[in-house]
Amino acid sequence: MNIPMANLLPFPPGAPGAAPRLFDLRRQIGRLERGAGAGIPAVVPLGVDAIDGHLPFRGLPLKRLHAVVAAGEREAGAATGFLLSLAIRVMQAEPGPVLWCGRHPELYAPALADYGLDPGRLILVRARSEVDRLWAFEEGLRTKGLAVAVAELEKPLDLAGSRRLQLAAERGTTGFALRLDGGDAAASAVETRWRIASASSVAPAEDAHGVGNPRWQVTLERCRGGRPGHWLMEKNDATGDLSLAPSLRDRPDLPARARVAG
Amino acid sequence: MVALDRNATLLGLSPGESVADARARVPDLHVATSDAVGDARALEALADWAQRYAPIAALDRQSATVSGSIGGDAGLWIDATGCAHLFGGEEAMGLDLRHRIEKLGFSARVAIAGTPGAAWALARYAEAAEGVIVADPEAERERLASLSVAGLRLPAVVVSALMRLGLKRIEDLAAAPRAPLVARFGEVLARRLDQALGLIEEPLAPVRAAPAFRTRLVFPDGIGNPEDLALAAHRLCERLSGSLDRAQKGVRKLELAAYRFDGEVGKIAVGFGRPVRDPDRMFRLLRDRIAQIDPGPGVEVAILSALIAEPTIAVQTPLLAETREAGDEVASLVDRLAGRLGETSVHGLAPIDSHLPERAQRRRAPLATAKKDVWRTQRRRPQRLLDRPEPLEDTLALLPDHPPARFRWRGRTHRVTRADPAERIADEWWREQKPTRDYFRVEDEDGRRFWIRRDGLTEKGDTPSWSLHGLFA
Repeated sequence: MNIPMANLLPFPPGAPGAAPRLFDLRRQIGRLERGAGAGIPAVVPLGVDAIDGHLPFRGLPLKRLHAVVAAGEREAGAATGFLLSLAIRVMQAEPGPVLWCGRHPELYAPALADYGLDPGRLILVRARSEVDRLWAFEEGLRTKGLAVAVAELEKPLDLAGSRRLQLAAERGTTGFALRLDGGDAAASAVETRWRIASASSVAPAEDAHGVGNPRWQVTLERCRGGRPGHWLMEKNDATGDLSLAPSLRDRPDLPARARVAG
Repeated sequence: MVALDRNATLLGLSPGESVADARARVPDLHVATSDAVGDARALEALADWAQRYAPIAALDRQSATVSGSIGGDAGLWIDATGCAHLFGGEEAMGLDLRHRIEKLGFSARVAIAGTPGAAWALARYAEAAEGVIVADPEAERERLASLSVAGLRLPAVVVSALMRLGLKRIEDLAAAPRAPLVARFGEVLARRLDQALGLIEEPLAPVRAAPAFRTRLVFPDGIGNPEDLALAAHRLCERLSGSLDRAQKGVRKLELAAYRFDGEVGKIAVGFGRPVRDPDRMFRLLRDRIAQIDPGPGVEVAILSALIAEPTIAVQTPLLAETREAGDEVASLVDRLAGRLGETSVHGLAPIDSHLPERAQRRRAPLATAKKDVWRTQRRRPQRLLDRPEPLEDTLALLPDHPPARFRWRGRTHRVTRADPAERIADEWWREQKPTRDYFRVEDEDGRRFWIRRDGLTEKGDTPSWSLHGLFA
């Protein structure tokens, strides 16, 4: 292999940029080892430094099982929105369609297109029983050639079941288990688990009473090899970018600055 | 009276007579109500069953207009071309056919000849009560010549007129000058004669199109359990794959038919998103459904047919091999999902140019993206759209034209803190007139975003009704 020697020299501790370059190297190695199962996974960054830096590999590991849980039965919209933001980032890195299994997926394609997800890449699977949904999900996770597999689940994944799915994902496709009903997520072998609640938006400049960019309370409840975390995030509807939002409400001048500082 | 059995015919009764007249002559006549629809259905089922012998089986629909056909008007043809050797020759095949039909509870006469017309005539008018009539190709014309002109599938009035003219046998007709006969009885006379003699072609109208590729397995002792049937299916897939491979084709729709000893036919069909000829892929889909076939008293023949076969692209550029493999895996995934959950349960989404939000997308076959879709997005739309808007209670708007300040949904009150101006959606004018529809994107005090719909306008005297139609990210 032809890596310039300079890149392999150890950085003096605390040297600026040392940590990111180390992560880059780890990521490169991870890419090389992809398919070998364990080892350092390939990742996609969320584009929010505070969160990417918090995650052990500076991004969301690909070909792993992740869980997104709505913090309450009325947070289905927020949980879906957050998951879509993650899925879009995976779809930029991985070619192929997206398999979305649900009892009755209510996805609305014109809005997804606006959100930045190409509906032409969607394969929707309708399955009434949880058993069928899990089966379809697992089949999707095993399949090379999909970008993402998503399952809307109504029961918590048990340890054995989630291990199985995680193993399937390692050989195939990045997976998201989505819980929309606010139900509890039992301990499971997922790579990351995110709990999502809505947060009040900031009025857009043109309409003081209007609805602004979506904001979410994002709790990283579980992260293999990492620590839990909590952030207030905002998604820029115009650009699709994610950023940290200041926790103070209704201060229209802050979000943009927060992104630069974040 | 519509139809008579052999005994009734021997007593001199004939179709068309009234039951009262017949009873006067034969007091203990057994009469059953005719069920034309049921008969037709039974005949169709029989034609379906007859495909166990050959891919083309056709119903004889014209006999209804022909006089004197014994045992009702029922008849069917099987195109046995190239199939008889599978049964040990034509005579053996005919005997097997007759034997089985009788076991199913029908009486039948079977004739095998070079043309559908000759077979029809021989089956009905040749002297051979037992066994099967097999017309020796050399002697077929002579044999036909001695039959009654009724054997030509002519209308009853034509047959009786010919009889009166002394043209009783087919040979009489063949020898008579043709032009005057055609002038009097129509072109049908010449056509039927030529068809019977094989001078012109008569294609059969099969009950369904013969599959391009078909392979069969026979189990003389029958098989009764699903595992054996699965083994048989696998063997059939391998064979069919061989034929498909030689033709450079793949199957899009595959059917496995299991012919049972009692005449029932169990069928399962599976579809593929792309033409397939890998036997394992075919088998994987069939295997999931084999349990749907009830072997009953035992399956004696299994036939695998490629109902739809399409050319496959044979060239594989090495550069694209990985991409192609990934695409194949996805196609195979879609087939498996559709196989287990049903074809309508796996789909993609395509745009429709409609400004009614619920009509702006439709389902379509997955992976069917030939070109890039154009999705019109003028305004904010919810990422989740409820199939049916859910009615809201206790809705309060400060002014008639305002968004709701609060609403109750699924038993809980939400206070609205932010709302976008109303978006008015006029109904498509060619549809029935509905109340004006307005949409609001609102946010409650916890930041949840909803798409709220208002039907009707206060200023027009309507009482507006409110519902929740979607959820935003």
